[in-house]
Amino acid sequence: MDQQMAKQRSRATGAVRSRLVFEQLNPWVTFSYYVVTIACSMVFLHPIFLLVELLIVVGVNYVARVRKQMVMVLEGSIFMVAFIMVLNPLINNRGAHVIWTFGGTLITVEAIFYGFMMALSLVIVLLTFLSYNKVLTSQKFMYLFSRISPKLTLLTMITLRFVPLFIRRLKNISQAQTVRGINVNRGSSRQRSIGVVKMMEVLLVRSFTDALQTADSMNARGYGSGQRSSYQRYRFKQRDLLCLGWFIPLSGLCFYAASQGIGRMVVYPALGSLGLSLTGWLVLLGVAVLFSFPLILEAWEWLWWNLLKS
Amino acid sequence: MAVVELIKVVNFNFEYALAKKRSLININLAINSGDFITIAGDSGSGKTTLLRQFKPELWPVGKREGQILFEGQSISELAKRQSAQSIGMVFQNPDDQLVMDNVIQELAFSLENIDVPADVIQQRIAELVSFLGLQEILYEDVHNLSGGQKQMVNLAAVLILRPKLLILDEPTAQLDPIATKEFISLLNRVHDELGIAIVMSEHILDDVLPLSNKLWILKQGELMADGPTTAVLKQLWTEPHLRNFIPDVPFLFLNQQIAAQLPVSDLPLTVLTGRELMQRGHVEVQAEAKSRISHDENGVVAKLSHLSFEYDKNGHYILDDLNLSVHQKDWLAIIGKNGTGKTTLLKAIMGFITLRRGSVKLLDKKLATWTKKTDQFYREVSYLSQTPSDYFSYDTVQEEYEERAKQLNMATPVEAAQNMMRDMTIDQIANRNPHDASGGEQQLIALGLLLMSNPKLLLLDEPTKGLDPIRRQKLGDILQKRQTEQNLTIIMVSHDMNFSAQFANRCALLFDGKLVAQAEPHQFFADNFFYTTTVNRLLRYQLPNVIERGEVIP
Repeated sequence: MDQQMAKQRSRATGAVRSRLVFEQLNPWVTFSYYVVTIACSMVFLHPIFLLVELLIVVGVNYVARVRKQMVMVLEGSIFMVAFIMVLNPLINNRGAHVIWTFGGTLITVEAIFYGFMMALSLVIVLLTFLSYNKVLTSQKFMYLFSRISPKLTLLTMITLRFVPLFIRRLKNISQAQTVRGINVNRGSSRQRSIGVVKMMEVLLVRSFTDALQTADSMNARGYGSGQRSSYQRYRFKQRDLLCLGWFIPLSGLCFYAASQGIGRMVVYPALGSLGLSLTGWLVLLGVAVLFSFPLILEAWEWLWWNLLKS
Repeated sequence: MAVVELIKVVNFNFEYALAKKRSLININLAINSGDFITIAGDSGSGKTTLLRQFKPELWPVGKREGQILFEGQSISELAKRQSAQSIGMVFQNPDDQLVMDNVIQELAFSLENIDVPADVIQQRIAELVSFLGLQEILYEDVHNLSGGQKQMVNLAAVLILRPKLLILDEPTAQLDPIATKEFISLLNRVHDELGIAIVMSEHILDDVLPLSNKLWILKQGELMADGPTTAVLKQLWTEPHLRNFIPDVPFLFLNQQIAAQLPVSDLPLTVLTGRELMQRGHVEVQAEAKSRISHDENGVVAKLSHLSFEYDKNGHYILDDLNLSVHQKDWLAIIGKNGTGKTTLLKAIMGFITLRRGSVKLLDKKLATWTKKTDQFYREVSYLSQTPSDYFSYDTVQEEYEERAKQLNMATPVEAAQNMMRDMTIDQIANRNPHDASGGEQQLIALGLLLMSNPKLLLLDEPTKGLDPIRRQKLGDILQKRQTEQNLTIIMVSHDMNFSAQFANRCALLFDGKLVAQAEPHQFFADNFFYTTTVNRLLRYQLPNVIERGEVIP
């Protein structure tokens, strides 16, 4: 039954029975991973860096089981990369190696290359958001930002809950209205618009009466009776601390290197060399480790269950 | 433990703001610790109004006279936080009470409101979850829970505040019979093991009466009877209007024929005690099983062949090669547990969902082509869903009916509307907003709207859900009249076995995507062991064919 399947699915993304080790970490750790990786993909504009990052992000999405969406995004990105590679030289005339001119517009190798790198970095960010959506559920997001405004967080959570409810309800109402002869899809445009207005009215009236009941239930359980406490579901465990212990310093080092110009290919005014210095390779290793954080955890888990456990 | 008086109500009257008459009249009652009280009465008798008086933060706007005391103090002086921790309340609709998006947060929400520190919250959740056995669904998204589970979570979210008194307003009205039994046995544990006093309003008393020590009957705002369960049941028997509220087992023992053979002082309330009494007293019951007319020689109105439906690719088949023929004037009741695809089947017949395989033929026309001519189709084939309020579009009941009549191009829309409202016995509420009507009235309003077009085939989804026994009888009578006089064919899905046994002329069981048993009701229920009516369970040892109380000769 679909309901049961949905149950299993939701269990898989739940905090306790998660598929990924990464999902079990405190939301703050998860969140810092995404902040760091997205920043990295925008800071290190170098083809080798970008390609390595892309490969690892694809790997992360693969283990995070968002393969279907990933294939869709990758298909779309081919066009996006092509589009940006064409657009950037058209609006950007910098660069030394001119390959074509028309009507005062210079098409340069540098601009095409820069467009390619920008597009690649954008693809990496898009792909990162796929696993982000899966791992950082709305609850975790709320947990992260509830400190800023508990009232607003509660309001947002209730609102988020109502959206799917609204959609389901609207479908049922439109079916019921069709049966009683008020049809939204047929008749003159006047009739149709009357139908739509009626339907929205029914939806609002119903949702309003239901919301009153929700308010009653909140009231009956003491909501608004004074100071509220806050129950945190995600505690900060030792493991989280250990993870942050190496992740944050390593990120710091990498960003320091970036500020020194390492891992940034010189494009303008003239295309620099593709090669990396020794420190360049070391920073690349560091970035690769940062990106592979979920994969490292997964690999360790696999090793433990398959080889180390006796 | 000495009995403590939790609530005392003295000469209480209540009148809603802008109302013309009082909704509660001269109420005097007391709730003691350890009580399990059931409140019954037809829709609009003031049950909800009365229950809400015990929660000052939920007081409806209006004029109050008299006194309500909680533990000797006026209840209006009870602070909100104190009230939340002393008196818990569970409402009818399982969905609307849930605030957060998963179970553990829902439980934490109650405690957060009263400023309990996080570590204590953790401890209280741990304790309650172990007591109620909620481990399996602790992190479940509330959308994914069944109705019964949702109501259990609602109960848990109130119990976690450790109340002394639990108030429940028709908590099982939206649940199927199995979920109802589970919920009530949970209430029994809460009452017996935790010693929490319970006050609960209900329409269907079969399951809850054996647990109650007191029964209150409300009639038009007055407390008509209050006292020990059996005494009140005997009093009810003398009121023809309210007699329908008596559950089957005590009903039979109050019946003249049996009462003459076996005068009992303590009425049996369960099948077990009832049957023991009968067997010990060698009671012979006279009954006549009224076999239903078969309409098989009439033309076929709905023919479903090889219906298959699934939600996802390679998903589980909700409907799996299902075949069905319904003849003119048939009243087919399809019975099955919640989630077996009963609603899906009706939606398939209406063409609301795209079938994977199979075809539907209604009134000798192919559904796929016919639904394109919407106006004509929806006049001849009609469908009443589980939420009648979805059908309303205007501000008063009268306007709904008149607009519907105009839409159907009737010659005299005003008269047509009046006639239909009279048929539906809702002419008293003609000037009210349909959304303000009670659940039972809403059902009748929506049904009337659909019957205006004189449909030849009517599909009903759980038509008796949330109806009191009086409205339920009325609904059955209206439909039966249409069936015999205007050749209406009805396909109904329901888990109300008593209603199906009383009115349907064919019954079928939906299981695993197929209709597994299809027979005349007597045959159907006599063959079933679990899925059968209370009357059949009680009497089957001597009268295997009797399925409803009307067949026992008075």
